[in-house]
Amino acid sequence: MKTKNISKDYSRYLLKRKLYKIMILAMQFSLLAILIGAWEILAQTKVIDTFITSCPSRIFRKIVELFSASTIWNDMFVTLYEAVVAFIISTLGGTLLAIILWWNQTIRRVLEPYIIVLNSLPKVALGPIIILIVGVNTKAIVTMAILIMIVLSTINMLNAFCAIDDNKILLLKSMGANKFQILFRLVLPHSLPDFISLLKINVGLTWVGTIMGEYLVSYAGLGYQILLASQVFNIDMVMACTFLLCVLACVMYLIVAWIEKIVVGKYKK
Amino acid sequence: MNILELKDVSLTYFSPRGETLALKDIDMQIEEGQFISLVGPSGCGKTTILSIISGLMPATHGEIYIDGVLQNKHKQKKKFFERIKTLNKKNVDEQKYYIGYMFQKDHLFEWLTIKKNIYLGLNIMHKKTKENMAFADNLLKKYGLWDFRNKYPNELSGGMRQRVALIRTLALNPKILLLDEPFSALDFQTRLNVCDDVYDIIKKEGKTAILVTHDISEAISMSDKIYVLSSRPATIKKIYNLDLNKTVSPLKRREDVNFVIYFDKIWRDLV
Repeated sequence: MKTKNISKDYSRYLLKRKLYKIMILAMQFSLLAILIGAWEILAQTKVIDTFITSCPSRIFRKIVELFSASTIWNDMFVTLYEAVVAFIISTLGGTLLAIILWWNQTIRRVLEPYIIVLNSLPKVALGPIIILIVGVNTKAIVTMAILIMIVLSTINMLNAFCAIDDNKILLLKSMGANKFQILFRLVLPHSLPDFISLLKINVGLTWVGTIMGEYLVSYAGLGYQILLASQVFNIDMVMACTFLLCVLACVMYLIVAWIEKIVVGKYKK
Repeated sequence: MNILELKDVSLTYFSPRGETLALKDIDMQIEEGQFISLVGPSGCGKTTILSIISGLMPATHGEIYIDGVLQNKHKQKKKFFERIKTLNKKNVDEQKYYIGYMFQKDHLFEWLTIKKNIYLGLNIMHKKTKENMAFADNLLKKYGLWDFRNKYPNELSGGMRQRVALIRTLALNPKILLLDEPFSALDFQTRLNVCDDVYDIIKKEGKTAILVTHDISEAISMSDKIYVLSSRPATIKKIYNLDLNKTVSPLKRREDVNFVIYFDKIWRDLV
């Protein structure tokens, strides 16, 4: 409850909270500064070999150079595009599959062993097969990323659907609801928080899939650049691309976190 | 005429391990406006009786009449196309809403405001007309929840949530209310208060109610008639037509001299 007349103790409490937040933030930044500083100093004093580890100043210079040459935009766009497409397809596709499996118990029973096998299979092993079937192009990368995510997405959402209290379903049935109504009025909205956490999982996994795919087959993209640079021991380039990858992944995660705040923030504390 | 009548209702559960007789020869006659309680040892099948009355579960044998109309005629399975056709029919006339079901937990939907929770049944029945919405709103106003209409369930106390759950059930204007241990999730003090509130609401709205509980004193304090069930297979062991002062609240009735006598008798029945 918000009150207009704030007591002295309460304002002191608020101030304390604020200070604590600032302190945490300050410590986070200083930790970063210490890590980067230590890395730089160790590199400058030749304690560590910059041929293998590079160093922050060189990475920074490389990034500036990359952006002035401006081909890096294309690589970033390619990788981002692959990651986003794979992310959307596998999240929505996995949810759709979960709905089908929830709807029909027979299909669920029949497919159960297949799902288990697919889930435990290391999807990267399918790489060569994917290339043979899909061809040497972006589609192969997206397919790889989708394969990594979709089974997990299906299982996660199906678990969420099946975890709903039977009495809630009975309640709707006692009001005469049919299965469509149970799905749209109960099952889907009830699973929204699970869907959001699936988004968070997939936001991480889609980059794993995309970079795996790019290592496997690609002509552009950050993964391609990393692979290329590492083969000629251009560590600055490897590090710079990795950093850019971090930034992209972070931004995507922040967007999902923001969506979560809007969608479930109002009824979940 | 009895609003609800059960004739020789039995139920057998089937499972791979075998069959279990859960209910045997249940006979009940319930008049309009009565408050009935079912008490019995835990796991005897009290809730099952409610499920059968509400039509959520078919009885193996026997007949159920509501307002003299046989309910459980072996429903012919509708053909697929007919089902599709009736799926989004706006008026579900043939399926009149006679029975409201209230559960142990309130099962309010966390993602809906109180008001939208109340409209849930209307939405599902495709009955969200102005009058019905006004009726539901009025219930909220009458029972002191109108100010909370735009809040989310997690902002309400347990007792309030349970009252909202009752109003959600009442919004469809059912004739019969089935209450499946609606107070057992509440702490004792809230429980006594909510019990009074719920009783008051049910009486004011003139509903017939069937309460399932294992709290003997709750049953005695609220009911006109108590059915004592035996352990599995559940049969009706005894029927008590209670003779307590019906004009006072359930809480006050606990002070009645006969209260203790009834309690003692029913307690003995259950042991």
